[in-house]
Amino acid sequence: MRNLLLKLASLVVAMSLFACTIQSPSTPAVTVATMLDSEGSVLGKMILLVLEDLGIPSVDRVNFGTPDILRSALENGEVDLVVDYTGSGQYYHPDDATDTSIWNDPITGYEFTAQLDREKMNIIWLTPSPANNTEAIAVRREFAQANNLVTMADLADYINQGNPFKLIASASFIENALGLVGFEEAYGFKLNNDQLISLASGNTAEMLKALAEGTSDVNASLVYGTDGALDQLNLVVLEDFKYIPPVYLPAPVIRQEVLDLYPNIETSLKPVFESLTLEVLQKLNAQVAYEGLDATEVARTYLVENNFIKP
Amino acid sequence: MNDRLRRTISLILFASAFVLPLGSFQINRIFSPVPLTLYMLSGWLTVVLLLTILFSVLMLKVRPVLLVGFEALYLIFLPSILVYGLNLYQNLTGPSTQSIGLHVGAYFVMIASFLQLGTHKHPSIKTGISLVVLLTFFGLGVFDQWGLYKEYLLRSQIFYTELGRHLSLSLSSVFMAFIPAVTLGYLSSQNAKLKEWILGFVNAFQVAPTLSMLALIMVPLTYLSLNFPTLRALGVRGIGFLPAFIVLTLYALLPITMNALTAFTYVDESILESARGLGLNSSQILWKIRLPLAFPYLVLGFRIALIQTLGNALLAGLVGGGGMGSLIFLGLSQSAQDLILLGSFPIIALALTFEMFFEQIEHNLFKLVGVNHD
Repeated sequence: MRNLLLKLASLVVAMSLFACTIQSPSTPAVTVATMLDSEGSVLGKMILLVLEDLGIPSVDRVNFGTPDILRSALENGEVDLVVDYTGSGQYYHPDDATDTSIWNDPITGYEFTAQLDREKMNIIWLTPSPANNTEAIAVRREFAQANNLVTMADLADYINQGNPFKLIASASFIENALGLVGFEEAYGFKLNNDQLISLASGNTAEMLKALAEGTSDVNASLVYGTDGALDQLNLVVLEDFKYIPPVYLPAPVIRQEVLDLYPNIETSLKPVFESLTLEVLQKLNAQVAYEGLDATEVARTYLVENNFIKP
Repeated sequence: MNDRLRRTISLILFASAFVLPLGSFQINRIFSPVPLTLYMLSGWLTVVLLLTILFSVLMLKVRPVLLVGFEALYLIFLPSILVYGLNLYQNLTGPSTQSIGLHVGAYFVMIASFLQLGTHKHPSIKTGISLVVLLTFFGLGVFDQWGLYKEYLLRSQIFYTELGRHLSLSLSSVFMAFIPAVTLGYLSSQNAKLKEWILGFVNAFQVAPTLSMLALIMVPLTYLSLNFPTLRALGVRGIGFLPAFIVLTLYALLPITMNALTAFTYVDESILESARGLGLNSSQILWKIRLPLAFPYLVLGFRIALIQTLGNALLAGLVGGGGMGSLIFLGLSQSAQDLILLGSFPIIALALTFEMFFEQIEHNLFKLVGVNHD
């Protein structure tokens, strides 16, 4: 019995040691990681396909984790190339961004974040897509038509007249001075707690579902600009002509060391991201989130059709 | 659970299939599924027919051979209607975005069948029939339009990678925890003062939510990784496999420690007495008497820890550790229920398989050491 136990014990130890070696140290391959959402899938797969076309070895960590996890993984060198959004700079360098108006301008916001990351973190922001994946408020189309809602100012009038209204949004958007609070101040309305449903996470699929189906009398929802399902679900975005929330342009973000190793990543991804306009991204995202198509195939079809990669 | 109770519960669950929706139809991935009842799928005649079969099986005192025949009919009939009716719905019209799936009633029927299985003398017959029916359907391609299968086809490659990651993460954490936990259990059985400290220690991890533990452990790991190149080369990172592995190992301590403590504490004094009488010293008593007697309990603790870890390991998906959690959280972010199910079912199946496997081992071990355990 004692022998058996010893053998068992050594087996256990051996297996544990084996388990520890599964995640062995890094190879010169480029680890591509993105956030846990449809856009993360499409853009991540696109980058992987471009790398493959260039003959650069890569590791696929698409849909890696939440935004904060992804960022710290990049800072630690756990991953090499991620997709991030220009407006996120306000969270990465809160002490430097004293003037919040920086984030409302696509170019200064991008340049400011890129400069800070390059100087402080050795992280390089490559050319972003022109599509602004910013926060906005959407309503059902027939609701907008019935109440003549086109812009946020129309919505403010509608609310101030005491009409029934219920907004579903993430807690961070509701509390943010560049989010709902900013909207309220700029357009002159105020929502009370009964008119808000606050969700802990920022993912909009649940919110869109609630809005489209009218769950709990929800008639407005936080949405993101590049969300592809808006059109199919018959939702319209209310125009924010005062540009309150920050501009969020998706861009490939890479560690300096890796870019030095493979400098052609920068030149190859530039035309791809420049081609991703709002309409294009909405269409691609819809194919993944709404139709349920394979993100790799969606990305490949787009890249081949536009001659970015060899078929 | 005794057979009578099992039968009663499964009868109620079976009966619910006539009221609750069995299947569902989804126009696209975002809208909620439309529930479909048995009547909507098949019409009244079938409902009456199925009810008749159900009551003959459960109420009449038929001979066992006949009973098996009836059950076989039922097991083939109900799934056929479900599959046929759902496919009919699917083929009606519409874009490729629509899909079909099971609803609560169908899951109740599955649970009912599972409970019934326990009352059988030959459970393999029923399992066999169900498997044949399922595989036949599969071969005929009737599942092609099912949401769950569509989600699987989209990610057939990463599905197995993530499943492998999940399994290796869960197994390695529990194996890692095993020997320290048994040692802790033994030490606390020997010393009352130590017991307090040890139980406090292992309980502390259970109290803290898993996710916040993950967040906490990332800070020191990141620091080590950035400041010590040797550790970094060994794979120490603040994100990915290692933090999940450490947290899951800590969580696996409690069930094993508690079982080890029980096993080492309640040893028949007369056995120890006779061992001492034979002139064995305390180390010999530990290795030859206490440990073998405790072994079945240690396996029990291992099983509980493993089942618990399989579930907890889902959270690794949030910190880049992969596993089925990454499918589930992607499903949540896209509000795609079938993708969430695709991530969940394998974990349930694995947990049930391990459960049955280790229960059998424990049963044999308890018999071996002569403990009457039920």
